[in-house]
Amino acid sequence: MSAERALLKLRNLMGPAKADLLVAATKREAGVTNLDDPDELARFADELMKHGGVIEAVGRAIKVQAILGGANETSGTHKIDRG
Amino acid sequence: MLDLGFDYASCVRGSEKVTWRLDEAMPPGTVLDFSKPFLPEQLTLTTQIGCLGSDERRTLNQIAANAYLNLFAFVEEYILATMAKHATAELFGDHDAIRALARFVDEEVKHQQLFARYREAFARDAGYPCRVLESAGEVAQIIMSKSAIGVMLVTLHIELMTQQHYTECVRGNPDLDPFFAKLLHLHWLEESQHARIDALELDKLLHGASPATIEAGFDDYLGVLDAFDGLLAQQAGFDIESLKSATGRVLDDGEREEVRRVTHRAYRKTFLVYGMTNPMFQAIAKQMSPTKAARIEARAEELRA
Repeated sequence: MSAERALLKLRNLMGPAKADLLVAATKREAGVTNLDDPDELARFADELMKHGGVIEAVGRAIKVQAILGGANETSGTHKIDRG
Repeated sequence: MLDLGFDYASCVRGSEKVTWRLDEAMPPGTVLDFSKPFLPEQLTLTTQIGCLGSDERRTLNQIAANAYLNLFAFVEEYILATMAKHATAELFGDHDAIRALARFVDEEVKHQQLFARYREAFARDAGYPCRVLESAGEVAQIIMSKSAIGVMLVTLHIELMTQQHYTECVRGNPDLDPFFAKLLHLHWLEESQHARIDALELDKLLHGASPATIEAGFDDYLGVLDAFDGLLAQQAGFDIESLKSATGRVLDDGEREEVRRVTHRAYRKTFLVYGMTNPMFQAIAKQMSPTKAARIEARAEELRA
């Protein structure tokens, strides 16, 4: 469910085909396999944020989503307050 | 996980239907009328204070009403920050959810502005100083340091309790100041959508949450309520000071204790017990953890004593 909500953001933004390619590459680069796990989702979000621009903004939204879902605040490199 | 009969789109439709403008609700310069009680008796319990005369009870009622709005402005500080965060988490995603959350945030700020405007008028027209809690930022910080599920349970509690105050105690009550009753009506209209959005956000948080995470959320919720009870006790003490400023009446130790005890009990009932025992809140809590729901009911019973 967390994964679906996260991937929807990318699909809305760039279309399903490009989004799926970006997701696969980002998962590989972040070393994660299960985006339903909040900590892995946070690391995936951090990797997205390295792109800058609008992809960074999506990554930031996903990072907040991961933290609300219970990700450890120290997951990844970008710290965002929980709430 | 939760069995809810609504979605974000219906919350947006509801919000669009009932929305109101700040300046229409309370035009700048509105002069308050202090001839009637502002809050219903069920929320102030002032008739249970034997040592006060009827004019003094009405004054204490109005002091409590000023504190009531301040306490809402108080908690809406953290609700605003929390829901802005939830809106951020939805960016680029579900457009209905983003709209519902963005409207929620806008409405909460508007409520804060309305209550601030009212409290300014109160300070100007009451003719006496009325002391209230001032550390909203610190309280927001404490609440927001808790788990997301715990924070959302507190938020749901508050929104549902607000509705109950209006529907059970204010609506159709001819004894109340009509202007204050109108403010509570307007607040209730928008809070109705907010409670539904809270439940939808809570449902999202519950997906994939372990039983231990859910239990910890309940512990956080109960911890926040206990901390809030300490603030309510402090406010009850402030109300006695304000009553003295308003009436000049110096209470002896026994009278002071009677006013403090009843006022604190009234605040507990208003801000804690109503939310903990709200039927929708209890139904949701039972779906999440029947054991914790029972613990909340038991704690409510203790607070009612």
